[in-house]
Amino acid sequence: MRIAICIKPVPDLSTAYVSKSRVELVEQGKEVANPADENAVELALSLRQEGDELIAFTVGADTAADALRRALAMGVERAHLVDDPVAQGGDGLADANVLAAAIKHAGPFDLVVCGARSVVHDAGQVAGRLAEALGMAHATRVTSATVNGGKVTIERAGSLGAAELPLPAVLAVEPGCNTPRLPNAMAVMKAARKPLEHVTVSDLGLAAEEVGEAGAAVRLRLMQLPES
Amino acid sequence: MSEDLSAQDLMAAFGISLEEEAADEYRGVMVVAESGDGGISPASLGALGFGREIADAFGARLVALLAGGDEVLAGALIRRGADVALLADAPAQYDPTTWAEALTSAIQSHKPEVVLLGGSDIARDLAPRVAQRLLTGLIAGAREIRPEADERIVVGIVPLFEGRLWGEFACPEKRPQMIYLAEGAGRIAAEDASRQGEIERL
Repeated sequence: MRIAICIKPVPDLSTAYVSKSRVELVEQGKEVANPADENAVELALSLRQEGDELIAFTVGADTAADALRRALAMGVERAHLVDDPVAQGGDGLADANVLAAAIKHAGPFDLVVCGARSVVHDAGQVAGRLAEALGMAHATRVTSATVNGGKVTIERAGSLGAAELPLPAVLAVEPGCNTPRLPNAMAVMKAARKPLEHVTVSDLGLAAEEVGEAGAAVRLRLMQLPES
Repeated sequence: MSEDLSAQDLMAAFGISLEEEAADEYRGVMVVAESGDGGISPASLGALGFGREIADAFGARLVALLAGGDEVLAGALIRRGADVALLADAPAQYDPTTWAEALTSAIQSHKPEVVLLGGSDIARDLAPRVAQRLLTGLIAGAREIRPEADERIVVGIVPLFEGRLWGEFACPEKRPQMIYLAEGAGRIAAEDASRQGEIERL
């Protein structure tokens, strides 16, 4: 099997704080891998058999490299980083356009996994978008999966329950559904030295209007402090 | 002049973009209704209440899309604020493929400027797929909405960073503007038995 894992770089909420005067989140450390994406990596690693290949994908600036290296340290073989400035600042639509193109470019894949939601928005959309763009089935809030023949059987959190999907499929993994393995120091060091594949928007044959800020349909207008 | 002006040149000269032209074709609000336990789900009723607010602000019609052919449920949707209950030929119990086809088809035929879904697992599963099919924007997990009538846009207020900040998001150009609500969000309107409406079949 070839498995693609999408990793979203997010602020480290254990060290970030909200500036009330500037109404913004102030980050104090490097970006980290979105926690639910680590659960996705763990799910992919638990499905891996001899000969399978796992590749992680991230759209982000070079500050996202550490988040991506986390996946490498956990045991993923390769990592592709779309750090092209043109691809930055996108919304769900623009980011899905980029991720889908990056996955197709490195494809074909049997399974695509990602977190069901991020600590940024607490509401996901990338899995369904990727599935549509890649022509695959999808399921979200997946808590466990087993692959048999050309199908994947999943359990889900929430009201939708268990299901069986044909491969290839996109699975959005529920945060906290498993315990992501902790890489040892050696694995972390090896991951730090491993080259990432840097991908540009033109490598992917995408137009500037489809990606990044230019390709975003949804825009953030204002930040506000939560009303108590 | 030796050069012919293209339609795009003319539109650019008048300050009209192709996207704005397309946006003008879209009118009205659509809410995707889910049913269960013999009634419309509370999450959907909450979305319907928000949908009515948007429709009133825009002076537009509110269409509630319901999978399955149940006219009793259609009546319930009308009594809660829908002007039209649009019944789709898809199983009442959620099926990803047929529901995505039904919603896409409903959007293509009715061209709503806003599509709203309640805070449910079905919405989380369905909305992103359809948003990508239509290459449009999706505001995910809004706890509150605010219609801006002059711009005909809906601002979605979305909790960020585990609720530490709230972001106001909008989809100014692409249509429809799709929004799914956060769990528990929405406003359920009281039933009004005198409300009239139409039942259409997709």
